[in-house]
Amino acid sequence: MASTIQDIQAAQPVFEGRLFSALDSVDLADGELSHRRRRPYSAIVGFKVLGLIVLLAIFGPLLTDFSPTKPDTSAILTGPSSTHWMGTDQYGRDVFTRVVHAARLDLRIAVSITALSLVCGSLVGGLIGFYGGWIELITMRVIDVLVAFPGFILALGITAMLGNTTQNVIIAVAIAYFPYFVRITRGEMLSLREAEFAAAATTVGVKRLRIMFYHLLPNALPPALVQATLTLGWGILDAAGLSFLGVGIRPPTAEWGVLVGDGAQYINSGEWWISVFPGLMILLAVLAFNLCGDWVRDRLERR
Amino acid sequence: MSLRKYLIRRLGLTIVTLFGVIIAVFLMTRVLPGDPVSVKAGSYATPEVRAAITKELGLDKPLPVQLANYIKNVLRGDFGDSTRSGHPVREDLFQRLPATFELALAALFLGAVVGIPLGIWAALNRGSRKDAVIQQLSILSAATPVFWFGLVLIYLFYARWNIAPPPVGRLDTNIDAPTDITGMYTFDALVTGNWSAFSNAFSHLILPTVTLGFIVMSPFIKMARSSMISVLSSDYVLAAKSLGLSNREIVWQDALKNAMVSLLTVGGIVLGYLLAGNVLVETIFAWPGMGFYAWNALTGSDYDAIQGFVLTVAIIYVFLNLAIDLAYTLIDPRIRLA
Repeated sequence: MASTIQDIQAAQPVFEGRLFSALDSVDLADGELSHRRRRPYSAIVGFKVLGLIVLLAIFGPLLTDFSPTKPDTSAILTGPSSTHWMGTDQYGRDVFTRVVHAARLDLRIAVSITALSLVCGSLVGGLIGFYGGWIELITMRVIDVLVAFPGFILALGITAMLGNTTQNVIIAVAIAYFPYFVRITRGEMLSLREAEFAAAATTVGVKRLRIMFYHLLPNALPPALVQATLTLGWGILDAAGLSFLGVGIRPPTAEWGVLVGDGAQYINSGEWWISVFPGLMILLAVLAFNLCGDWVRDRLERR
Repeated sequence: MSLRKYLIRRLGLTIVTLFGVIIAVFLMTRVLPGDPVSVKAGSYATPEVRAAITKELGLDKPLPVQLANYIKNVLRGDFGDSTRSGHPVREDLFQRLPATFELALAALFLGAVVGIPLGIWAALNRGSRKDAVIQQLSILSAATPVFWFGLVLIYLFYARWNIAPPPVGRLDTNIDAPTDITGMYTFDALVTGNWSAFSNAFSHLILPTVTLGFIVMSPFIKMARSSMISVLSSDYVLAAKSLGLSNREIVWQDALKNAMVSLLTVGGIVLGYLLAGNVLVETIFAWPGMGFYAWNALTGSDYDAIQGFVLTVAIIYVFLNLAIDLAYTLIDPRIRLA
């Protein structure tokens, strides 16, 4: 019997606090209709786009001769052309070059944030779910406090406090996502520790900690992995948003959010390409992560 | 557990959380690498002046004492003074709250009014082409960076096609603000019959609202669609159909009411997002709300203002969640009796 809404919610990730988490893991209830296997078109598109972006990130810098940071006063604010595919910015830098260099950074950021919050969150959630007691009580109150801040604002405050570096942005956003993983894993662990196979293992003499790590935690992970597919996309949006504001990664480092920020002042005067192309890349990357994530989620939840 | 016990527990949780929030915000800025003494004293201050300022800001006391003072001040409503405006932060924020609120409500309204019908329509046509298109739209809008989308809209509607007014603020400079009732210009102008102010304020409101509304539409579509699907396959709807009620009657009378719970959740979550994520949109449109204030504070190293903003947003969010939980108990008897 759940004693607070939070406990009810912890057991069903559907109503978590973040804007889209609930909605993305809501079962779109298509299961009943698909008696026959449908080709997962969205997932195919998702994986293709993601593959393209990864290739661009790895090999992109080889495609261009321009430097992502060196200014070129002879080519200031030129529009898209055959030499400058995405135009140039106010310093004459080739936007395409900066976009592909930024791709590396943004993908790295997305993966780092997700890995950090997934690992730390699941560990903490699993441990407190398994052992319970006052340590669970205190941790859940701390989680409540973290969740009391809207995620972006929390990351904003932490980055402002730690300083504007890539590493700090990753840490700050990971802290903002950390509570979700804790709640999800704890919720799973609460029901799993009562499971028969856990009791069986204890009877045979397996030590408690080992039960938790080798038997229970792997089974508690699938919902956390589902959440991870979401944080990959959100991580890019949040990191880019922070950098756009000037609170995250700073120019002249090439990051998609920084690039959009670079071009913001030129929107009114009509030089749209400086902001629009990097932003488009953000959209495509997040879209790709979300589509692939949907597919992963379908597979995990069908088990 | 009984309703009363639940309420007491929930309120207790809220108070504990609020204290935690205050402590967290305090820690956030006391660990800042920046030095508020230098900011206030300037570069040419003598050691005596710096010592005096340190004492004035209370920074010479041990950390727990500083924390206690901070909590005391916050409970009194004193969030410190802004180094840029010179006014108390609380006053600054309070002044800007209506602007943020107006934008948040407008975006919420737009997102719901567009998203919910689309979601319902998709559910009623489940499996069809229309359904797929709507789902794809929802996925697309969830992946769109809000700050980029705002810039795109500005470029198209202002810079290129000259339809929208300049994206600066809530009114043209030659128009006076309407009589202050709520602080929300569109509402106040409408209520006082001030048509010129209303149309001007409305025209300034459109672009930022559409920017936020587009993103926010996605959860409404998804939730409306999924609620409607599960409700439509439920027994009582089957019964209603077999008794001869038309589709339209079923949707309006039975299905919608039961979908209210999930829609309430979404509405609450979205409102929380809007109250906070406004920092990005307000900055782009120079919309004079709390978010823009926060951005200016960040770039101007106005620590008290940053702290006050984060604290205020968190407090609003905590009470919002409390209100949602309480609304839950009113709507869904199962929670009360759980």
